[in-house]
Order: sequence, then structure tokens, then C-alpha cells
Amino acid sequence: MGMRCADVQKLVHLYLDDEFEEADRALLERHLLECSPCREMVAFEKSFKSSLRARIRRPMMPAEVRARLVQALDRADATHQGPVPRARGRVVVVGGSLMLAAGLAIVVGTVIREGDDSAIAIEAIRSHEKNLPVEIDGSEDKVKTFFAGRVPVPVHPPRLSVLGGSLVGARIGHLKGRDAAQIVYRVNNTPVTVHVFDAAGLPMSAPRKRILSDREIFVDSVRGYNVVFFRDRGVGYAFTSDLEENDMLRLVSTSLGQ
Amino acid sequence: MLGKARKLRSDFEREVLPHADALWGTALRLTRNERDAEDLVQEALLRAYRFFHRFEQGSNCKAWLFKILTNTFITRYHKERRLQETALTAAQEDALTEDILSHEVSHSARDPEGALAQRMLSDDVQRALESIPEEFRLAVILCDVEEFSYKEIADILDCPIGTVMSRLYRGRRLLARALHDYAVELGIINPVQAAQSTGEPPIDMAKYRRERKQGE
Repeated sequence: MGMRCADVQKLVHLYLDDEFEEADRALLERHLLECSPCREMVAFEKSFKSSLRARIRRPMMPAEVRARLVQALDRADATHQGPVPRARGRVVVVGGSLMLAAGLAIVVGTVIREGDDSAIAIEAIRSHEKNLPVEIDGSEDKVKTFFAGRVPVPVHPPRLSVLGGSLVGARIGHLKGRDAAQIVYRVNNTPVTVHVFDAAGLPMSAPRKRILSDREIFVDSVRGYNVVFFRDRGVGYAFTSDLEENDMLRLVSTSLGQ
Repeated sequence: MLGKARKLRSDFEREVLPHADALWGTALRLTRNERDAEDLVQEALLRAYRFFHRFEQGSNCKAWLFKILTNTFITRYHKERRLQETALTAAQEDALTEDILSHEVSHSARDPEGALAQRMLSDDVQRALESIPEEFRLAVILCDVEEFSYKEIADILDCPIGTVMSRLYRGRRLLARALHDYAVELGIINPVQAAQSTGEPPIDMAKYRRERKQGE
């Protein structure tokens, strides 16, 4: 037994990165005792790695940058964009009254339940993250035509241009075991995925709810993404992105008005 | 501000701000300019703040923050250039196969080890690091600068450990090559004939052990 030179070459980085277990480490070191070319090679890699570490600059965050960061956190606090206080398994009602810009909607209240991430949100995020290529691009009308007969519900792609959003394209996706239209936008350089799906018989729930234009809107946040979903005349819509909740609600509101 | 909210804010500052310098340095190396770096760090930290209630206090805060930074970077800055980066990688991979890894050529002849390793200047290292493709740059930063373990890096980059190892391997090779080229440029070392090399990525220990057992 014992390690061969070819293996040492392949494993040297693991060894130097301390990713080896005791037994493997001993094997490699035993080889090094007996093989001077490998010893040289490992010594070189070791020296390279430690010189790299020594020479990499570790700049400190400049004071002005730090100051602006603190200001941004202050702004977040002032606009309720900070962390949601923990509910610790209880149901907590936070009397929030959040006026969105231009009187679009009034948030009635917030019910926060821990550990209740919606299955719709989780699936929507997964497919948003995959960022698979679109099957069709072009105008909202072209996309609408594309989906006729391909998904079980009529698809009316929202027009988000008034908010600075542009339609990138669309593809056929899935949500909760049903074929869905997956429409991709870019809003302020941020990707937004809108799923349009058959919501018949599909229960909808989420840790947070809003009321917009008399409709119940479900809001969930998972791993840095916000998902806002709702049902409109039997058709389900899910908006997914890492935009802030307020911005997403604006998108939804614009779509509802169309 | 409500008492609870005030406490969360101060908890956040206490846990997160100690990592601000590390995040800043990484953002700078990823974006290569101060203005984008500031935007990236601010955006990442605001997201971290928004989702701070999802963070298990006492768990690995640095890895959590780096994961958010990486996600933010990929979403905002990287995607548009993905294709271009892949093309670069292919060309540089050809260079890799000529790389000097075998021990037929002694290392002292290839590169007076003293010269390269010791004479590497911070500027050169910086320049070399910024010249390699982002996906490899990020892996090298996470391992060699921020000293995360392979498992933590896999979690941050949301990829298998094998991919981490492969990116580290290629990243370091590319870095060494870039530094070698600068060193030649500066007349620090003489270019030497490239020798044959395997250029293969590392294997995993379990597989190695299996194969060796079969061979006995």
C-alpha cells in the first residue's frame, strides 16, 4: 500500500488546506519521507500558499463607507425594512399600517407564524434560482400567444414597464405539480420571475398576508428572496425576486390594475 | 424605535459588523472598483439585516454573510457576463495543460522558488487575483484569504464539494500562471520550457481508497 506520486500531485491541495483526516495525512507524509521530488513539490505549493496569504491585502472598510452603511441601516429601521421580530411559535399580530406610495394600498395587519414557509414559495424560489433559459422572448402579446394551449389557464403577462421593468422572456415551468407559465422580467437590473398557474383547488397560505385591491396577497421570505402570491379569478400568480417587499407589492398592484 | 427592534439592531451590529472588513475586501476583489464594492456590500448587508430573524444566533455568522454576499453578487453583477467568462476559462485551460506539475523538471529550475514566492508583491498578487475568472477567484478568496473550510465554501457557493475542489485547483493554477507571467515580465525569473503534466483535478479520498484496495 502507500500513496503514489500521481496521487500526491492530485491531493496536495487537500493536504495543505487541512482537509485530510489523520489516517490519510499519515499516508501522504509517509510518501513524502521517501520521495524527494514530491517533497519539493509539496514544499513549493506550501510556500506559494503561505506567500499568497501573506501578500493578500486585507483592506479595512473605509470610514465613509461604514458611515453610509450605518445610515442605510437607520433608513431600514425607519421604513420597517428591518428584521421581523421573532414570534417564537406564537401567533403575533403586529399592528402595522404601511402606506405604499401614491396611495396604492393599505396594509391591514400582519400575522406572523414561525416555520410556516409556503410550499408555493419554496417551489417558486427554486425555479427562479435555476435561471433556466427562456423558450420565447419578445412582447407581452407574443408571450401570451405562446402559452395558449400550453398551460391550462389563460396567461396575461403583466406589463411592468411603468415601474421600469422589462420582459425578458418566458418558458414552460411547473408549480405544485401543474404546468405553469414562467415569465422572466428585469426590474432595476433585478430578475423577477412571475409564475402563472392553475390555482383551482390549491390551498394558499403564508406567514404574512396583505390586502391589495380587495384581494388577499400572501407574502413569504425564504433565503433572501421574497415571494408574493395570490389567486385572481381561479388563476394563481407568484412573483419571486430579491427585491424588497414594498417594491414587489407595487409590481403586484400594477398587475392587478391591468 | 420599539425596544425589541432596537435590540435586534444592536444584536445585528454586534454580530455582523466585525465581518465588515472581510466583506469589503471580498467585494472589492469581486467587483474591482470601490463604488460597485460599496453597492454590493451595502445591498448584501441590508438583505442580511432584513433576514436577520432567520439567522440562528451563535451559528456561523461569517459563512451566512458570505453566502448572502455571493448570492447578491451573482444576481446583480455576474449573470450578464457568464458566457464571456466561460470563453476565457476555456482558453486558459489550454494554458493549464502545459503547466508545470510533473517532477521531471525540478522546481528550482522552473522557478527559483525563492524568487517567485518571496518576491511576489502585494500589487502583483492583487493584479493576478483580479485577472482570473470570477468563479475561480471567489473560491480562492474564500479558501486562501478568508480561510473557510471546503464544506463551508460548498455551502456558500451552493455547489458540491467536488466543484469547490476543482475550482480551487484551477483557480490556484491560474493564479500561479498569472504570477509567473508577471514575474517573467518584470525580469524576476527566466521562462523555462513547459513540461508535460497531468493537469487533472483532484480526486476524492474515498474513491482513492477504493481504487487502492482493489489494486492490492
